[in-house]
Amino acid sequence: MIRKRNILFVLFGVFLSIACALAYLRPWAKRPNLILICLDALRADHLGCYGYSRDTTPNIDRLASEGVVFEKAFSQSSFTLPSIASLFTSKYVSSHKADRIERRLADSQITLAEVLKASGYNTAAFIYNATQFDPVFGLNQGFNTYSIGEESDRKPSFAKTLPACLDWLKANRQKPFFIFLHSNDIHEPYHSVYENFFDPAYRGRLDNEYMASGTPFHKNNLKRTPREVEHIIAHYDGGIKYADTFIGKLIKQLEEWGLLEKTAIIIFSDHGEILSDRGKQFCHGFSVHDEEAHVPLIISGPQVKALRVSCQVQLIDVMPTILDLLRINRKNLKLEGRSLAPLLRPGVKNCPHNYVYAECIKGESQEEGFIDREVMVRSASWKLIGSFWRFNKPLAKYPKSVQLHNYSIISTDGKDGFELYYLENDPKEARNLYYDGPSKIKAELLDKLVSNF
Amino acid sequence: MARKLSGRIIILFFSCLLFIPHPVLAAGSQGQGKYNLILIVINSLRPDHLSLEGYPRATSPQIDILAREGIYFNQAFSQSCWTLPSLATIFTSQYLSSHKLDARDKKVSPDKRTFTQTLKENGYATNAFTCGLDAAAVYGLEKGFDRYDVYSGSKPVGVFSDMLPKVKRSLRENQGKKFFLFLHSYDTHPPYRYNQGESFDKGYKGIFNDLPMDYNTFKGIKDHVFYQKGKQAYISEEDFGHIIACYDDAIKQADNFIGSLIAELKALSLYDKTVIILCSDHGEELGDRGTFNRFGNQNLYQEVVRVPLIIRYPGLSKARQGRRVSSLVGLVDIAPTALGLLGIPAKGNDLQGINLSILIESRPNKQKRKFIASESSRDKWALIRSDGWKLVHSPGNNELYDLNRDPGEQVNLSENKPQILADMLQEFIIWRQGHSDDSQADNRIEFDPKLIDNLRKSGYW
Repeated sequence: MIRKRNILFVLFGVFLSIACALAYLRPWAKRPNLILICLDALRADHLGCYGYSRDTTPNIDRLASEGVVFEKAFSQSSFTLPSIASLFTSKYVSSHKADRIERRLADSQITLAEVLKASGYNTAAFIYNATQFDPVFGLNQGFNTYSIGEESDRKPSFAKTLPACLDWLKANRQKPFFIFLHSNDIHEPYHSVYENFFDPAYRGRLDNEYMASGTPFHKNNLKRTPREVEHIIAHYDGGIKYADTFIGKLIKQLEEWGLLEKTAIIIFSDHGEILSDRGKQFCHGFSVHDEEAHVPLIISGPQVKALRVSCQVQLIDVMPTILDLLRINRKNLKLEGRSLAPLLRPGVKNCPHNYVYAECIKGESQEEGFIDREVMVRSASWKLIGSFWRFNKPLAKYPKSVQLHNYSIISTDGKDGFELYYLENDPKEARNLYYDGPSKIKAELLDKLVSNF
Repeated sequence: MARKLSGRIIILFFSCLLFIPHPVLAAGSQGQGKYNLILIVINSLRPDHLSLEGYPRATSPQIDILAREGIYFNQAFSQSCWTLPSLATIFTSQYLSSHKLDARDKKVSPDKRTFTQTLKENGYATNAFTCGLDAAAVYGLEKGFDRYDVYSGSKPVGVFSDMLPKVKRSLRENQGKKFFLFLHSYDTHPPYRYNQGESFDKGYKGIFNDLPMDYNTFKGIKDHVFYQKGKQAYISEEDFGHIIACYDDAIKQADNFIGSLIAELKALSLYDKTVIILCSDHGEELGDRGTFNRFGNQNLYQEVVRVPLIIRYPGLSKARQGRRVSSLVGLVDIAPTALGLLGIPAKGNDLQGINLSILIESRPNKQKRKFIASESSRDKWALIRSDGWKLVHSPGNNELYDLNRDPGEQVNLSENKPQILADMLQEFIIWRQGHSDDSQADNRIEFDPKLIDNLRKSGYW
């Protein structure tokens, strides 16, 4: 008898120490609610908490000042569908293969929402007329509630999704929930319809222009004067400020309901935006330069302490981080991201990735059987980009000698097929060192590229 | 999404683009489907063990005859290191990245056409006699064959001598028709079924005496020690030599069959009406790096990826018979070359290889390729360049060899030659972009018109 009791004591002691260790290691020992907010097309350098000069994001900044700001977060594509598919599955684009409009996220892929749902979370997504969230693309997998709006206007977005979200919360806030909240307010067409606007003094031919891609606005962008570019950027920033007010409203409501302490909020963007960078039009999905691939990522929540992390991280890390913090087994999911949980605590850490990756399909034509694809690998100091045309069938307009079907050639906007940048001296990626840069660096990055694509 | 191509400049396109369809040689132009075709794949046959490559043993007198009367390609490479993907390359003329048949639980995609299908559509009687396993009739490579006979005897693997009577019968049955005959055997694949090295190593009395030359035996070999049933024995040079003698003996047995086949073709007056292509699906490890057979280690060294390739066809001029071609070629070229020699257009086949006729007929040593690729899986591949550089890549590991100075691939120069390493990585990246088939059945979308309309409005369509 005595022996047995001793053993029980020992076991109890072991159990206690494991429990303590876990409580220390896992900030989210009590499973909080989760709200994942996607601010579509928000580039990192236009937020206050990322050092932007304009006061675009007072509410997000407040959240950021109490949470963890990932200064170097990268999306896996500069296009919504592949990027969100990567975030939802923790798979690189080359793995989940939903890389263009003609492809969906296959049902065989296991999504964050599916895992959380299976772990007892009530899952809901609130999106408003963002076409790539149409259920046909498969991003709806795992959501009990999937609200995407019905009207054809794309804006305003948060003004529709936040009320829908709060209505739902009102009824469902008692049980653990996972909400995916999407805003298209920053995405073009730029924010000409809203009030929060940084360039009220401007008067000119942009005043009545509808600032959307695929319109005359888009076509004219290459001929803009510097003043006009400045004005368009002010519109973009106005969209950010507008979206930010809704973050404020959300936080206020969560506070009122006493949910803020029990809810983790993760804010990110699916990709950045070209704002006339390197002489290009205002758009995205055209490259994997930093203006399109560098995105905000902010994690705030119970027991998360204020911290800024300078390691390179990726959107595919969000899912393993969440599952790690919630102690949900992810062993069999073959996630390709790494958990950022160790980075949420202060102290010197090893960065989870020595290299981050992104890719995008810049152009394609099914009839002509070609795609134009750009891929990148980025170390802490260097970035390599490769750009390829690939043809599936011979094209009449090319010389006979290149009509052999099934091949690729490299291209990039009439310049070089490969680009190499030394980010320490050249953060804007202006000077291509590929053809005279150090061979060792080239080989190192090409080696990473070849393994990932 | 259909953004315009204009305003862009093609900077580089790699060498296979330079291929211009050649108005094929004499044979092809003499009439469509005039000749029969026999394709012989001797599994795991290393070219450097053939007497025609100067191997000291007389392993291959009959194969040598075929080479003397035809063309021998001495820089031919397999596109993979094991049978299944390699056969898929032969039949589809596609690289592993494209045909994707890289595991035994897969089937080649239905939309991949084999050249057998093309021949059948052109009126050929198509018959195959294979020894099964990775050449079984389950992977989709049997497509297009009227008859696909698989060895079903009691031995662990089948060899040519098992099928000789059937092959003879088939030849007689098809004598009056246009036919394609595919022959595949495991003569030179372990277990070597022949007589303990009697041809070349009579009287051997070492540790491998009376042991089967099979996986179990080979698995026990680590460096110079043989581990089996808890015992260890030192392996002498003589012992190693015995295994190689058994392998060589197996070549001799396969060669005997080639002799019988030639005799039969002559007896039936078919020899000069038939295109004969002889190759292997890959080479073999014979202690080059201390191990025997390939055992799933997926090596892509020369002993594994270099293969023999002989093409003998009617109408080849005397002056050209026996020619050695040293251009880089591959198993991927077999289908386009066969179709070219038979004068049959490859409609609907995605042929990634090149028709070798041009090398045979005009410029035997003109390099049609800057490099050729061989893949053991998506992650592990080799690039062999016509200037003698070879890169073997696997995640986290690059091995760069200068085959001109280091044919045995002993000195990894990847640290010393970063520019060549970078060039070859770049070449492979571009190559793969053009050769990976990224089509997927499970993620295609059926769009409804309303969504297309929305997508168009948003500028995504």
